[in-house]
Amino acid sequence: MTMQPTRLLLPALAIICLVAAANPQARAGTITGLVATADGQPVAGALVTLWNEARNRKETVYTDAEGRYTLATGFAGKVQLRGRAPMYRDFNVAFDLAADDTQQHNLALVRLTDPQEISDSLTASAHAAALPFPDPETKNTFISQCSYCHQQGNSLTRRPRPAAEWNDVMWRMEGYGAYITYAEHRRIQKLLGDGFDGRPVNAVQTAPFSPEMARARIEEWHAGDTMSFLHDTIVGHDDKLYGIDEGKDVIFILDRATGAIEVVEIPTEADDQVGGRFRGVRLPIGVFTGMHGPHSAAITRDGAMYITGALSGKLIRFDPATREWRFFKIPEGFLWRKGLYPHTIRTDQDDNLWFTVTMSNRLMKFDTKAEEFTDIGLPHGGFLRWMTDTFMGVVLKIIQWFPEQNLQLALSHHKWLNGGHEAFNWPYGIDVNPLDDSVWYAKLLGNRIGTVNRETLEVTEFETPHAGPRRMRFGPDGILWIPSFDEGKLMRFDPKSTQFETIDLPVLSEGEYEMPYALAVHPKTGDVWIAANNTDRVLRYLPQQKRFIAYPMPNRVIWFRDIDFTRDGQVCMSNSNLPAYAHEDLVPAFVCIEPEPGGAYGR
Amino acid sequence: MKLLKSIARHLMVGATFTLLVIATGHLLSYLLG
Repeated sequence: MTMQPTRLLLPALAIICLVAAANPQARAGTITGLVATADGQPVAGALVTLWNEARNRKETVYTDAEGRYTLATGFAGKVQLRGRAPMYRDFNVAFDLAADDTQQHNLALVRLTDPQEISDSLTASAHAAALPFPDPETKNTFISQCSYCHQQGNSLTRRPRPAAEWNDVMWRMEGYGAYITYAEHRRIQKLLGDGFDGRPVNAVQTAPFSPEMARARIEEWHAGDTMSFLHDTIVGHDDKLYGIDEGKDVIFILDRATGAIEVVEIPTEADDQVGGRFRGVRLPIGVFTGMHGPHSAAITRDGAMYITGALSGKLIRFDPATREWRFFKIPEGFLWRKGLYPHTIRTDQDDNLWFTVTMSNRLMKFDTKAEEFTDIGLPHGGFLRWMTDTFMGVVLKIIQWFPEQNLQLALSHHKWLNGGHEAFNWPYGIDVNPLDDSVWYAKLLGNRIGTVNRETLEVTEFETPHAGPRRMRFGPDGILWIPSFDEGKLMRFDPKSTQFETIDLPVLSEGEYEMPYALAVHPKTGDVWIAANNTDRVLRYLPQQKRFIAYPMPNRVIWFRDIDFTRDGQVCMSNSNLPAYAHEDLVPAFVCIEPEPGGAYGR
Repeated sequence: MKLLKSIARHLMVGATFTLLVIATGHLLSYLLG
């Protein structure tokens, strides 16, 4: 954060509220003001957030270099305004706002001095960085396997627990899919027990200010409850947001213009069962109660939405206009090894669909006209991974006879052959090159990217320079941008030269690491948007200028899994930490950033 | 009938052997991993 001396001194700890005469022409209220420290220093890049009366929506802007802000709002009634900046105590003020009011609220922030209060205000990254990792290998495994679905070090996960409780937590997480060996289990259990001891963490986090922040605006809409899990959110042809609840088999449809949210249930067929093909696994308690496990979605030219049913192994077609549902069962194949956890899905230029099948180590094409699947097996990459790819279906079939007993932990060779997460490939992110329509995928645990020849179905893979390639995306210039989740890097890959470049992601203090998950490239500007899930920020990388703009989020504890762009210039996602009650607001939310005012960032 | 019994016997032997291998693997991984 940049602080500059100001000509305007604020009275210490005072709020000056000047209610101006109502502007009869205005259709919405406007709040303006200054955010400064107690001694009058303006705070640049501070978050000024307005809650609506129902406390289920927020609007946020950032202060400019002089600490000033202007927030135009559609909220009216008993609202609450909050000023927030790193290392300062939140400042809240409640007031009545008429629909066409213009009010001024200057906010004075008090510097935190109490060690515990400072520690509690830090992002999870500071707490995770303070953990006493015994060696780099344990740290790598911890980041890779213990952070799939949530931060480590936020207020929920850093609670001190006795060793026996950590042991229970670890086994529960192994059931959810943390692939670790017995030795790694023991080391990480000790790490968590020793590191999360309740003592305050001493770190000074600094958030650099970018002038673009002062033009941005963020909107949030709560959706669902403490047990909802809005995995991915995509923008429909109607510019509404469609948030897919993987646990409950429902879709939340948000009309941003009105704020109305419609909840649509995904129907089931006669062969569907709770937990789907993974019903032998004890899935996250209270969150996963559905049968399909809808995960990712893509849209075809007719506006239809195709959703991967991760648990049921089905491709689900939903037409938002007619509300018609159709289901396409993915063939299971010999030894039931196909169609296990269909994952990220994208549309190619021929209006066909391509998706990764994570636990089968396969790629699938779905021809939307012929309604046929094409199955592509991906390279195994060693004996242990071959075993996984061949026998995963058998293991899941056997354990279905013992529902929710987690017998896969007894049968899986990642335990009994000591393979850990290196026994898996996990094809994950996928995208289509806009220049030549080629299809590329990333293997999260195999640390490779690959492409498939459309004619011969021949697959070519490239090892990534950094581990954990997650949800990658192409830019309009045909450059592939890949987040390295495990190492906190941004990778740039040119398919023509097949060369990688590495870009370090900015962190908030020395020793911290980032966990980039969602990534999307704006189709016009080529800006790379990255969910910085360990530090509650969204990063915007400008490739031409080779610099980042970091947008701190108004909700502590973020977890964004996919990013999409609206036609009217917003960058949208859903906050989907597992569980949702770890979020500061306790529930998931649709979150949209409008980086430039007036729809200038439209796609 | 004889064929069925033979198949069942072979399956049981195969399953027992597999479980033995897996159990040994778990033990070694736990102790030496």
